[in-house]
Amino acid sequence: MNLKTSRRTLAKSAAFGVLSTTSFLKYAPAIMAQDSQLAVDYWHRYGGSRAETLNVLAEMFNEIHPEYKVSAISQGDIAESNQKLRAAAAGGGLPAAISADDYDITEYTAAGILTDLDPFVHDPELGFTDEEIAAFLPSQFDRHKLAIYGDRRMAFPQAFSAMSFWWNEDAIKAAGFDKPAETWTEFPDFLRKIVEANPGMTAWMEEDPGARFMSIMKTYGVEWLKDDGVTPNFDAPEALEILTWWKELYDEGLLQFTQSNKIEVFAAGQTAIMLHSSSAGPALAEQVKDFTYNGGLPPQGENTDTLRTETYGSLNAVPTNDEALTKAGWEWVKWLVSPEAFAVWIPASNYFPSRTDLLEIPEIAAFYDADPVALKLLQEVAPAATILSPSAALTEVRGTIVPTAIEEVMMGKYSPEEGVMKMQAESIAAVERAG
Amino acid sequence: MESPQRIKSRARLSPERLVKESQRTSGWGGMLYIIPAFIILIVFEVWPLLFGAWISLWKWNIGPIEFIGLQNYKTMFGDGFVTRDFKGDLVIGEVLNSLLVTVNYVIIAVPSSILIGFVIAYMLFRGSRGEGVLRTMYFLPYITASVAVTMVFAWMFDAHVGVVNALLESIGISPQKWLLEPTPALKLLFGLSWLPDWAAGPSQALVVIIIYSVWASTGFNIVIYLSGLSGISKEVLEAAKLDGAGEWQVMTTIIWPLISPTTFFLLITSTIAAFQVFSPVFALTRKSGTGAASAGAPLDTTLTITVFIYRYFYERSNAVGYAAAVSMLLFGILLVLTLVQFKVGSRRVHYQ
Amino acid sequence: MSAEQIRVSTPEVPSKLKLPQISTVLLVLGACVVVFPFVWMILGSFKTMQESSSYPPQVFPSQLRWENYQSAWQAPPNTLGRYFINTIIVAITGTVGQLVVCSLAAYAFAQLKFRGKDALFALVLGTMMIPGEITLIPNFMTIRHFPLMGGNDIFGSGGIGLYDSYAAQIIPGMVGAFNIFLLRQSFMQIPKDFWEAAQIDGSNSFRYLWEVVIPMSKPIMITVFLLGLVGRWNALLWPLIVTRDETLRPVQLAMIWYQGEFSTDQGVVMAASLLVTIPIVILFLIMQRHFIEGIVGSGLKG
Repeated sequence: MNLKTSRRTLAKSAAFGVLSTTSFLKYAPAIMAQDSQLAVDYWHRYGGSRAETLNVLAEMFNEIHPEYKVSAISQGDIAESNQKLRAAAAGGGLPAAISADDYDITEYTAAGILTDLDPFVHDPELGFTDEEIAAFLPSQFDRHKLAIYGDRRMAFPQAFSAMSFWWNEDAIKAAGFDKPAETWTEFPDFLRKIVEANPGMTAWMEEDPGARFMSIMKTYGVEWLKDDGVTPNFDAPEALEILTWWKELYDEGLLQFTQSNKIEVFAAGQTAIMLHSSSAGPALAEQVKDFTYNGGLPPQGENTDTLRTETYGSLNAVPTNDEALTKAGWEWVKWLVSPEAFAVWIPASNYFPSRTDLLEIPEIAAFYDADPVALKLLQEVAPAATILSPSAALTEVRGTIVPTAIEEVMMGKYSPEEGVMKMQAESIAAVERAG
Repeated sequence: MESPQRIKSRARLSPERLVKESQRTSGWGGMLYIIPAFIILIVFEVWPLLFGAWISLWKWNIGPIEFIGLQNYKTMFGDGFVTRDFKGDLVIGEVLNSLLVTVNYVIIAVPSSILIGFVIAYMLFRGSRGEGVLRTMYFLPYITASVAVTMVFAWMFDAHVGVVNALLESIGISPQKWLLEPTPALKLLFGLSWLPDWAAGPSQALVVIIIYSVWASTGFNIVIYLSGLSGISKEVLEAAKLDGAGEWQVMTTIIWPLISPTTFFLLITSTIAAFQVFSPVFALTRKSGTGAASAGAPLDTTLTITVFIYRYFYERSNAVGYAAAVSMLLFGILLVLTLVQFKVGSRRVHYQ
Repeated sequence: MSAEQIRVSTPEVPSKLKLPQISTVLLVLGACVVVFPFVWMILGSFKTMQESSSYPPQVFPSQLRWENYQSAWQAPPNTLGRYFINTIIVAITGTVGQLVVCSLAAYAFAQLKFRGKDALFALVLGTMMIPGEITLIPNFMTIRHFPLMGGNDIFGSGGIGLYDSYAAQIIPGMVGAFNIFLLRQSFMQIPKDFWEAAQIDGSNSFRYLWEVVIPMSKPIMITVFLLGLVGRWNALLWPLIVTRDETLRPVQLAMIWYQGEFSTDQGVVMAASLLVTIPIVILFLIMQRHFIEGIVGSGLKG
């Protein structure tokens, strides 16, 4: 409430401000917040209702910590918030805390603008208790405690999502299946039967072939970088295998690339399956009208011992600032993984919590009771989720090199063999340049 | 204040004309007027350019890493122009590809919007029912061009749910992939599979961007042409008619040469702007979301030079210096191009 | 038409009749194509999510969903109205400032004589060729380190400079080479005699600018004003970079609030886009007569 009134006052003062040039030039910000409060800016890339929820969280935090005034600030999408952070890194004025993607964390760490969180994590006063640490999913908590950072911990997520498999139950039943394909080996025939049984339906559409190809490699148990962390792995036989069956499906019209929103296409009954984030649930619930759908772990490679899928979602990090601001940033990102914060964030975002001890919290229990698919994904998909090998070259490899090679193979310019050779050769060069 | 007419009538009587004129020419007084503009231009345009030139001599990420002299320029003119692919064959480098994409865009978008602008302006000028309303309608895109409006284009040209494909299908043409189609338009239309892609004109995806740009910019050209046409005396037209010239002849052999200064002006300003095209490419070809492919897709066939700079600036590691070097190249190209246009133009343009 | 025809009939009538008829048809057809995206936008703004992603496309929404407009208005914090106020403040002050600064410079280039004039004018035109991407980060640094503002000392450190203010959104774009060029072209049309007459009245060059040149150049001023306003109305990236406070951000940034993580309600986005576009269209309709005059009077005809 307080926030709202002060905003309204600000609005008025701004409107009057234009009348007088001096006050208008000086109308700068409440960065030096009132009284002795320390202004703590948290830059994130959410829009819509999630951004609103973050405002609510900031208000909750500010009530507990009267010495701080957290402002959650939406900086647009990933590209825009990245530009903004780079400008701030060059020109000064890094925020106290940020939410950023895996790749960005790697870049910002290399540029030396993030704080190592481990000293805070283990600080007796400010840190986590041993029970709290034990409650985190290790794959998430240690997501950016990496050898390439000299074993420092540069970020951890509040909550996350993961690549999941969504399917149209009616369509697969019509094709005689009671559950979807569990391995990629069965997958092509599974699609062929679906399309046979459901005329007019496209089996599979992808918006982003590069990212998808690399996450499917992961489900084969093959990371895009070999264990040394610098040599690309597109010369692995699995990469060629995937590209080969992709090409077959593409030629049969079963795999199509699209720029339309996959959820809308799926909800309209135009595709039978969809590889998409686990947090797509609410959007599906809202849009799917005339069939039942379900979700689970994506198909896996034939010989994998461990179940795997790719983690999505942004992480919280604390940029390098003066001591007071760094501490404030830490306290905020630490509070974001408290049960009170999760009780608000999980139902609002439909992300998986990074902690496993939260199912007792009434709000969260009620949320999963109401949405059995979400619970199923939490149990099946969340524990299997890990990130793609971190590298400063990841954006180039995933955003340009791999999708280009795939597209050229699909168009028939190169054979699948040549396609993976091209991925490999160009990725080696990209890793070198970025190193 | 006095009416201009009154001032003017007195001016003719002025005996001290030459003396006064000299006061206006004396020294530095004029400088005072341009100081505010120059302060802003120097601080917000010239200084960033110099700073960019400085960065282009560095390996630079979020901050400086290493001073490397002209290395970025060597890479740009070397691998950037011609490089070897994974098989060891010589292929076009990324910078040259971007230049070709940009040139394809410029040489189609600029003349189209100028020619269409001229024809529409001419028809409006010759008189048409509801001229005012039509003029307004043609001008609307120019004032509303923004990201929001670009999104309507993305939706209309969507390969799967787009209304343009639906219209094509209704007249028996198969649906197109539009923004997802990297194949050059010439090849799609005429086959020509022997032609290398780089010589076969813009990809279909780039064609959509060109359509958007022509849509968004023609209105401005129309207005400029209408202004030019209003200066042409009706007698010239009527005289031509009496000599037996048809409408087409009048338009092409009389009006077009007479209006050439306007065309020249539009050509220069539109070329400068078109070489820097960014927003429509960015809005129409970028996918948002984790790990999404960056703007310039498909297969970099819409990767104009400014989008290339953006990509290296923000989406590549350690490549800010390289992006700055390419910016300098773009600046140089525009400078040379404009000078050449002026040289050629001032010789050829017919002045009234 | 052939020369023969002209000889037999009166020379004027056929040519006057024929072209306008064909051209009216062509012009109307062309206008339909040009206006189609707007029509599609208006229809889209009333559709549900399902209706906007169906294929073949559903042309008309099943009902007029005004609630899309309501959602569009209410989704951003403090409603879309707050963003409108910001855009109006930034666009109007910025454009008026631009008009002042550019008119002064254009006047000097058009009517006064001083050393280095041609070189300086070439420099102004040269700035049109500087790629925008390269200026973004240096300009952010300049805003942030603006001396004596936002807690900064004279050397530009210690505070936040003009960051997160209207001024930061206004000042960098205040000079446009193209505007100076347009204004100069127009000012050059004013006969030299006027100046001499003004001199007899004891007018100095500034009074002459203020009392004669500007009033005589009203149409081009309105043109430059409108073009400047359009540019600011549609600005996106720079305001995002230099603001943090939602209560300072312009309308184009309000679009952030309509994006879901995966699916965006196309109807609401179209409604919001229309709301954002309509004011500038209305403004244009009001000013368009002067606007056209301005271009006509600018001497761009050569």
